Amino acid sequence: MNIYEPYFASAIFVAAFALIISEKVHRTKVVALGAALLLVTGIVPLGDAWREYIDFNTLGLLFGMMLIVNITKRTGVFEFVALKIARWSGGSYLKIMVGFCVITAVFSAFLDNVTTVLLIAPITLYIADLMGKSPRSLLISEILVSNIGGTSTLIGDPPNILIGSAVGRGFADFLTNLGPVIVVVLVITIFYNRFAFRGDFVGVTNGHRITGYDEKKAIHDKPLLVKSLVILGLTIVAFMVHELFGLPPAVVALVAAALLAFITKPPVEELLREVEWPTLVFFAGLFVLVGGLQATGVTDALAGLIADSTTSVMVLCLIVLWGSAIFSAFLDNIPFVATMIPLLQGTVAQLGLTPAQADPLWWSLALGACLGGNGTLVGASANVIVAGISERTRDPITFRSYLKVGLPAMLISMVICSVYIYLRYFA
Amino acid sequence: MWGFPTIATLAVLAFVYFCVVTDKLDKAKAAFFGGVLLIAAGVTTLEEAWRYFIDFETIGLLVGMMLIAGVIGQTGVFQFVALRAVRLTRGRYGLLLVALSVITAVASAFLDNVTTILLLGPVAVFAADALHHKPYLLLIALTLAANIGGTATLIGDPPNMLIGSAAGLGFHSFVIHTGPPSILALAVSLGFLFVARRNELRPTGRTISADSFDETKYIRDRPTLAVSLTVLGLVLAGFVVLPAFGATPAAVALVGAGVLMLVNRAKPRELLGHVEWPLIFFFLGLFVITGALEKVGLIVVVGRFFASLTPSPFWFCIAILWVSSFGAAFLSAVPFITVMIPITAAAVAHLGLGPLAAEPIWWALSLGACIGGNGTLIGSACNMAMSAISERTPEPVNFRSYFRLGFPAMVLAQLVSSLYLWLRYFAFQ
Repeated sequence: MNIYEPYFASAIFVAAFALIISEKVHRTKVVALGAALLLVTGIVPLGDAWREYIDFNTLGLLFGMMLIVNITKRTGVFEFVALKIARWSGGSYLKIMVGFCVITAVFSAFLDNVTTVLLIAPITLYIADLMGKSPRSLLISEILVSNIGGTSTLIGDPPNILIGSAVGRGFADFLTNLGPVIVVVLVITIFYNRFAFRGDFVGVTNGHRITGYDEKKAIHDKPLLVKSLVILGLTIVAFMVHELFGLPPAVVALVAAALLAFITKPPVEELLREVEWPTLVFFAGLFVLVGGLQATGVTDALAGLIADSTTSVMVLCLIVLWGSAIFSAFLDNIPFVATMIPLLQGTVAQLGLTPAQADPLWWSLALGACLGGNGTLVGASANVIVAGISERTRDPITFRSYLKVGLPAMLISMVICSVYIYLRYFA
Repeated sequence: MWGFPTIATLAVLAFVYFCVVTDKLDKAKAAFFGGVLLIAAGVTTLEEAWRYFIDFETIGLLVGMMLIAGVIGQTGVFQFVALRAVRLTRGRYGLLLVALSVITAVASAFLDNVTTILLLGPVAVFAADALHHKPYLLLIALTLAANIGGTATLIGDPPNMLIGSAAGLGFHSFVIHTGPPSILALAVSLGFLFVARRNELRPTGRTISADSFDETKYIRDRPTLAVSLTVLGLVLAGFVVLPAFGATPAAVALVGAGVLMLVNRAKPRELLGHVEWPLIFFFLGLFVITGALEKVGLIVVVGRFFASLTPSPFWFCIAILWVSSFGAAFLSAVPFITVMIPITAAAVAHLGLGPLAAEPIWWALSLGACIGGNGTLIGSACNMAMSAISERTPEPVNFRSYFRLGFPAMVLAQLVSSLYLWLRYFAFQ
């Protein structure tokens, strides 16, 4: 390896990052070309890229979850649940908000946030329209809780998938470490929504109009729905106990996806077409770009810097927490987390921390990167998607109107997380 | 050796072949599910499968070339060339058959065979209809040409990609070694068609009027055509030149695809749509199953048995040629070759042949699997694509009607290939 390679790899990485942020070029194209350059110059040999740097666990898990979601989406089960909630609310706006927030958070914990909001948003618009209210407050609340819910499990948000795979933490680990604080954050956030949107709770609501229709019409294919739910249920159980059998989560997801694919009628070409290939290619390319930094020793050098300047692990945790949150609020958290992981791994190694001592660092990264996405309208993909949907309504969500609600909510959640991390891991 | 892992792996393999041959269940699902099942059952692990079983060279080469070829195919250049040929031959059916076959063979050497057939098949149907001929003969000729053309280069046919990756043979090696016999095979196959169906191919005096079609309207996007052909040219040059710097064909193809993705205006989703993901997943599953077969020790046993059957490398070579011809014809080339390669490698090792001495065996395998795909309708994916196209015509090609022409053509071609192998690699050594 010659002395120019670290600079070249860093230059490619920074340029790619800048292009992604500028949004002038599609991010998949950017990383594809960047990775290709690293491949052809030999900085990252193809064999190493495949074997070492591309995280097949993440790709497999993402792919498996995409298939599972695509198949169960066709059954209409999500619409069914949302409409059931609407019926339960009996026309009370508070109950609608709480109900939709809870199911958005729960769905988001098991599906990716974008799919969750894509499923919830149309129903939200419909219900709000029936009640004669602007959907904005409901949509913003759903954005907030989708990011929160997604933080609580391994599969809920891509940063968690990346972290879990890299440091070998399973589904149960995420649930037991992040679950408690997420529940608290969720409850506080719902209260906060009630406060922030108090204006919507006055005035007449046409509550009676909601209870008047049949949510069963949302179900397109009942036998398929039952079969899918059974497999989904088994999948969740399998996720919880996968470590007992030594099976990586990706295998659980792939087996579940394969089972579902076999019992469903849509042909494999259609299913495979609906998979987010650009996203998977983006991840693969990103791994190669970060791999370039690892192969040339850049990440080790940076990790050394961090290790040398660390006074206590707790302070480092808090820096990682708040730093990730701020970064994630404005920029895409996936490249950020993908880069932070080898960095922190290097830091942990150089500080000589045991896995148990290093744990809080990873949980801080997860909390910060995922919850930070609530800070601004561009903080997470789910936010952007909902903003796009709301643009078609009479009362679209603007950057500023979101900021007024989202940023305080995110900061509150960060304070709660800081206290939690201190109390749980250092007190 | 005959414990649970072996039985499980053999069962999965049999299931996949069953799906391939009978087309009852989708083969990509079968192979992929089979592979996942083997991982879940503990026969192998995800890590082992990813790191050692899955041939990323082949996958990378496939993905890269599919993307580039897809963009080129979309520009309409192939339809243009084919229709230009129709115009130039002025409807003489025999001449048209040869011209279209040659175009198909050349296209198929650089694109995958299925895309070639999908692009040129409709042109053939159109031309046949205009001349009041039944299209089946033309379609079969194109299919034969597609498989043979694909034999000539590293990137022409998935079996060659697999062989190239396994044996470390590069683009130029294939052209030099499998190129000439491909030309011979094409001549022999077409010659057979002319003899067997000489009545149909006699000139009838019917022509296609020059105004009944306009091939220039097929080229819809000249800039993209120019760019994508340039990228293809650079990639081909890269295949020849860059291995000296340590870059593998897959890396070159992926870089080419990356560049094309960047300069092409289309969104990544559209560009990635050119990749035939079912085939990729079919391969992933097959790799895992084959890896499991190696892990349980079956491959080595079969390979050694094979090697012990034949008295000399020459006869082993011929045996490989004919076994893979029939294997490809009746079990379909891709699933057959995926298992055949490690068996061949084991046999080669058992015979104690060095890389140079082993080369003729790999060429025999390539000729056998690729040209063997001409033998029956299920022999190769492009045959099935042709069958699908022919379904829309009044007299669709079925297994029997294809077999009557394809199988003899394949056998004749392989006789010539056997002679070629003997003359080139063994007669004067």
